[in-house]
Amino acid sequence: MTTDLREVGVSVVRKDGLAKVTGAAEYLDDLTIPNAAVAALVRSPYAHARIVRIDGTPAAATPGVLAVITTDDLGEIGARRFGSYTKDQPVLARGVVRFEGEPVAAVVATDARTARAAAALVDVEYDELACAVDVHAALATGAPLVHETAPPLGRQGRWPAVPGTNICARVVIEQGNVDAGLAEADVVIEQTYTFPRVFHYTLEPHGAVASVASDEVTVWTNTGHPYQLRQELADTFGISLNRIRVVVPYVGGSFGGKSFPKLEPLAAALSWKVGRPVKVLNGVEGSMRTNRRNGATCHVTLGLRRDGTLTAKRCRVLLDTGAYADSGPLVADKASVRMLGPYRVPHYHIDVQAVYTNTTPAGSYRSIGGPQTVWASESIMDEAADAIGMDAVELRLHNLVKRGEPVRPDLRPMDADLGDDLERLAKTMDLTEGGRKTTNPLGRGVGVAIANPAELPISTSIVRLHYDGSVTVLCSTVEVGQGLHTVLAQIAAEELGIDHSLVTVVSPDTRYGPYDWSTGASRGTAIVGSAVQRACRDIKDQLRALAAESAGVPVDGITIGDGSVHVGGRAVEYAQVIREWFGRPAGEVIGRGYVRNLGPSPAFWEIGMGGAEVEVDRETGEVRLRSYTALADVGRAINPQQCEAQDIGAVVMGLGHTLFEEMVYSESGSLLNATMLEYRVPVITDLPETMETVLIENADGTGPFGAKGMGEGGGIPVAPAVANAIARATGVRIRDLPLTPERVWRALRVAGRAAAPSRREASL
Amino acid sequence: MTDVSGPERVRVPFTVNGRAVDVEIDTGDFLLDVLRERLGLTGTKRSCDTQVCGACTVLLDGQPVSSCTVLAWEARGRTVETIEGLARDGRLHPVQEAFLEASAFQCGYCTPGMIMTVKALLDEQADASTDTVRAWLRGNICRCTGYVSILAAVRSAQRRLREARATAP
Repeated sequence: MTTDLREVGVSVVRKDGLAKVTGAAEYLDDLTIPNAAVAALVRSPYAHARIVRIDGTPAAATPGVLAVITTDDLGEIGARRFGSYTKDQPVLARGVVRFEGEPVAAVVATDARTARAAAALVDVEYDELACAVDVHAALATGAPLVHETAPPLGRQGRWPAVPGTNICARVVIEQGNVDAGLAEADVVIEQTYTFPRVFHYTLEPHGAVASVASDEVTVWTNTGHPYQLRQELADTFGISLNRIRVVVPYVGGSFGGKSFPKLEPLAAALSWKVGRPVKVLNGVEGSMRTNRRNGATCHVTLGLRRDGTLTAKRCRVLLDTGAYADSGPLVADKASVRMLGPYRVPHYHIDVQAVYTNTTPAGSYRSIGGPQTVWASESIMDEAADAIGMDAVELRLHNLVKRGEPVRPDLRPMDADLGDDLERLAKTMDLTEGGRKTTNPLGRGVGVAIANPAELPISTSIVRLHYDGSVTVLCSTVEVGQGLHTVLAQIAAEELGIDHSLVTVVSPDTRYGPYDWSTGASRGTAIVGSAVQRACRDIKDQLRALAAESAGVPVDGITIGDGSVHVGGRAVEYAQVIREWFGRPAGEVIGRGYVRNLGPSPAFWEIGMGGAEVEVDRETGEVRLRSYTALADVGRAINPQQCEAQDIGAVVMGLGHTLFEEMVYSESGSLLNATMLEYRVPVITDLPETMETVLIENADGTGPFGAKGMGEGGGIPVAPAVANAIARATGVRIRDLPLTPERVWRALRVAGRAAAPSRREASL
Repeated sequence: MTDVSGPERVRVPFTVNGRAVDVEIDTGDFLLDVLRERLGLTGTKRSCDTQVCGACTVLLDGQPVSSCTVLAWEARGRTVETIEGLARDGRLHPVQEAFLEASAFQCGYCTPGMIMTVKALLDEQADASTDTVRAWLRGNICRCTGYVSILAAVRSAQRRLREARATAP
């Protein structure tokens, strides 16, 4: 590691810290938008029904109500569909509702209480239809179709829906001949693993305030994707991109749940209709009807030789993507590679289908398709190790791809030393209790994940160097809590050779800020950071040219270092260069940074490994975490404290889907636990007794100063690590999440009667 | 007999962050809405609306309460403290300083409620054990940090408060 960096590699205090500890940080609902009316939504009580009639007359007569709006009031906008990958979602339900909680009508009033009271007066008559509330029902012969005709692809769409079925998107990757590979195996294991539908629970619910004027649509929103949203709004209104303005304040968590359009098209349509700004704000119950993670059923067949060499893998993954595609097709695409995993498998066939069901639409959630598939692939690795009597870590080390080795022919070769990483994790776990070997080795388990993140390395940045030497960084990545404003300031400061306190990073406003693809996929540090770094280099080039022109000397001999321009042995501060060139204290230098790719896809591999040590109470089925160790291979930690914080946060979030979380639907598609009283997320008393994070820094990433992205990886291996540890502690393998006390207790009871690992010997 | 009449307008005098206020409200108004919408104190956040998450925590006569489920008229004649009242003369409260330096926040949405709960705890039990800290913070959900940095911040705040007491005249 080089050590000549001054601003990078330092845990500076977060840029957003003061605002956040004083309550001054403004989130969507804290903004004052003059003259804004408030909308309350009328949501469907049925999972699937035809809308027969909507009577808004009594609601409209309520004092303070400005309008009761249904799809029929919205003209062409009501008929259009939005969706970046599949254009299937209407602004308000049109003719049919496809999930319980789908917005059917909106009551716009002068205040929230009036709007809510009037919304209760809207009378909707439904004709209930048969519904498909899970993937098995949705794929059964004669299943009710969530969408009667296959919706068209969206602008980013690559995976078409299959007509006449509920298959929203299908992705198949394959290599070699799986049957031949399985025939070469000594042991073949075949199992099914399920992952529940879970809710992001960002503390701040979804919302949007829109103001549609004659020449511009403005939306203040807590989106993570201002520019994806701009496109969708432009399509909804049929106007050009420069007439859409998306403004994003601080966002109270996203985790992917605020990616892509959510309530914004509706807010804009309502504002267009009533002629004044309109605010639409979810409560938690509304957000649970807005987006969730794709549930998954993963059927895996794995073949291996007695020496541990994997020979073949066949997987069929069914993702429950809910009533509208959202990013489901992209989740399917990513799930295919994440299902393959970090191992050398000569023959594989992985078939991933995103399936429409009559439930809350599912989309992006912290490593899309990662936790679901790695739950299966890392559980079966332990089952395979048991089957051949090999240590689970040894089995993994035997099969991990090496640096430079292809994972798939069309993707970036592995850019990390996975074996070293795993050995480091195993060693750290041995040391977690003050250097002693752990006392309960039977209760330890690991999970190893690689993810191909950084979805589309397309970012731009504008960096403004002011004539006092301070800097404003414009980029359109949203500060959702990941700390990117701080990290980008450090990158800019390092590149320019100045102190990070001189750098401000501003929040997105598409009227002024430059294009960015998205906030998510662990792409901020590496991709947006690269755009910022390039903009700073552009500034340095310009400063040299300005200094040369001012001094009347050739640019060739002018250099930059230590925050100054060196002109013939004289060090000139940046600010002075600007003032001299403009002739007075005025002007600025504007740097541009463009990123359109960072070499082969993905821009980097995100490495997340985890090890759990558990104790299981056989009387109650309760799982107690004695320790958890997480390892992230980050290339370079721009801000080590923030990297560790991201990893710990991801792990604890992962404990949610591992131990507690599940959205429970009735047979008729009603969400039965739609409040935080009933939906259990990790609280502070759920922490493992000890937690450790290991950051691997080899400066081998494609991002600034060798950084890779991170922040998602920590959550991916949690569930298999815990389940593998439970299996070691109890001898009982559980293949369904979450690992609630009841589920564990039942599994222990069943196993008490007979231990029967389900596998067949290929040689038989 | 149950009174089924609609909300009444009443005047509610109380003290917020050391300032006397007198607000006309509906009897059905929650304290959270009055703080945010009538008094402009938007530092207190709304999330679960069911007294589970703790994002809306304020102190009522020094005790942490979920302002999303406390009726505003319950504050009559009492003192309310919100996140906006913690810093004095531009100086952060030791709990705020500790949260800032330990980076005990990410998105920041739970932070005001979290800090108010910690403030109440340390006012009452300056040397609270880690188990006590966990028990108090069980009612404050953070989805970002994984809580580890929050526990570190509380320990740091305890140190700061001890030092402040030791050096107090």
